[in-house]
Amino acid sequence: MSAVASSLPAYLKLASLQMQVTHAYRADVIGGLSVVLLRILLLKAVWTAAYADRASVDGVALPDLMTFVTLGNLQLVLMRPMLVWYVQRRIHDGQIGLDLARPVPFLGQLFAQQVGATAGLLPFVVLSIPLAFLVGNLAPPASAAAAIAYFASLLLAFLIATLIGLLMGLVAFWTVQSLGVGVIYEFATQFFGGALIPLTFFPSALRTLANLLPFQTQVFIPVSIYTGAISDPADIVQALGLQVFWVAALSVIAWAVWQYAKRAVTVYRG
Amino acid sequence: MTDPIISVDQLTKTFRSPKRQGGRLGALRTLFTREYTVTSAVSGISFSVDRGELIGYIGPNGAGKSTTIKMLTGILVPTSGELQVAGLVPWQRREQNALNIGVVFGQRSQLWWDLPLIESFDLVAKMYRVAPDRYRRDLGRFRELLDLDEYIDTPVRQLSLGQRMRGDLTAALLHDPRIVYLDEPTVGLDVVAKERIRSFIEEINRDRGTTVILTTHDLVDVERLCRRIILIDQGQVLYDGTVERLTAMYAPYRVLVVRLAPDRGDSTDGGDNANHDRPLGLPGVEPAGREPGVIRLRFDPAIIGAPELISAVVRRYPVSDLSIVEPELESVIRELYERRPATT
Repeated sequence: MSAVASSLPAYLKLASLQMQVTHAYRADVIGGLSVVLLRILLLKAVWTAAYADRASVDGVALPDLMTFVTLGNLQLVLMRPMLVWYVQRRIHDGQIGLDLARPVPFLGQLFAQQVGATAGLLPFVVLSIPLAFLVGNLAPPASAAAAIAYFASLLLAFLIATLIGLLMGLVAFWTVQSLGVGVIYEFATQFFGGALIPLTFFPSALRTLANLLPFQTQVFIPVSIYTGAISDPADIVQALGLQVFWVAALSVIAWAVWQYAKRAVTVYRG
Repeated sequence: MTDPIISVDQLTKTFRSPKRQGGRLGALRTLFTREYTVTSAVSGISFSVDRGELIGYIGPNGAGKSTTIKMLTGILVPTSGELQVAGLVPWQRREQNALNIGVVFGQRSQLWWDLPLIESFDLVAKMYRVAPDRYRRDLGRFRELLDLDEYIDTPVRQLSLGQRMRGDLTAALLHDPRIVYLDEPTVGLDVVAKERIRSFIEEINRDRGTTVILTTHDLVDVERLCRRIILIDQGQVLYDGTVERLTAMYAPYRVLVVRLAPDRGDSTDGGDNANHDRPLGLPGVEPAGREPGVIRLRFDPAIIGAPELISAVVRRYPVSDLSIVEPELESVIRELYERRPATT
């Protein structure tokens, strides 16, 4: 623990630098957000047509569905896993050598940078909420308790997204390129997370698969808590427990992979 | 007290990469192959470095220089052999080792591309736990020595290569490391910028007693800065010692350049055809190329002294000018590389 404490100022500075970098590329951020808003708009058009005149499908009313889709997609912007491409680019360019010649643990450096990137995105996402409300829908949280549980769940979702992003990035220690992995990952979080189609509508086999994967814990669980689809205290605790399980499991896996990867390090370009 | 700060003993590093599979689905088969190609980057290197030395670590491309540096910094795990840097085994204690060292890779930068230069320095201070007052004082000194002030608030991407290199050197030295590894710190710089970097390296080595391991292809860097060089090739130490001894060993010759008086230049040119292998009939003197009006004589000072040779030349030829060329490190190294056994 003392190691973390002595490195804390370095982590904070790293996060702050990454936040500034995010702001330096604000045109990219705004572009990315516009695409997400457009996606929400298109999803609304499709879902409105699919619902036709029905008030609800499988017990889900259209406005609730749209709150789900809107919030789910905004959340994904916030958790955009920069580490997937960041680690692969550092390895590809040979910059990784400099990162490893630091007195601060590498995984800690990476985590701090994802925190910084997300913190940099936060104001943009918050400012886009009114627009998101217009193109999609955004009802207030189901209750005060739901709001509190939502933020706890969101934090856990962020940790899970970061850990998966990190693992995807570490793949580059063996393959050099991991952009393909990033594309698959993005698709998986959107689809199996439930940001495109809520898991409620999945056929049972697909639903079972989604339940076994970690992606639903990034979108479906926090948003369901927010909308009140998960509202029973015992269910909320269970959902949060599942997230904690994934944080723990992925941490162990990431640590183990890193122990192996750092022995296999090859630094490119002379 | 006299313990070396770096000791390397029989260090080797081999890389194993999967053998590429050809044909259909070759890429996929490569992924699952169990056949490997083993390449040996460093094969049995030993040397030791004392506190405060400034060493040129040189060799041709692919000789294993960077691989050695990467093992010294703890980035790469050696395949076999022993190494210790300031009492630590770098790869086992990578993060503690990092506190003792500074690194500059001339082809890369540790600076944050999109942010003002000062931000990268602030990060270094935090990472290496440099106390705020010491940071302020040391940064002040670097600002003065390297003229950082005019661009310290400029984003790194807008800096010239020379400015960026000064920034990188500062970032590598802010925490006052005991050892600094400089991998091609002058690559791509103009003469003025190179000279500035050289005198800076000289200064920190002299004033702070920082041990410097300098890797470079620019032998002027070496001649200007290093007393000792370690020359490696094909993963092995080819030479370890002073620059003077190397030149004496591999290029004992000097060249006397004789410029002939213009009026009779051409006629004398063919004058001593009879004794082409031994101009002037003196031992230890060989012709070293000629062009109209100029005669070059290579002589071994151990056999014949320069005054003796010059007086013989003046007696024999109408001379307008004379000069003696000392062997350059570059030609020594070239000769050395050419002499080595052919690689497989």
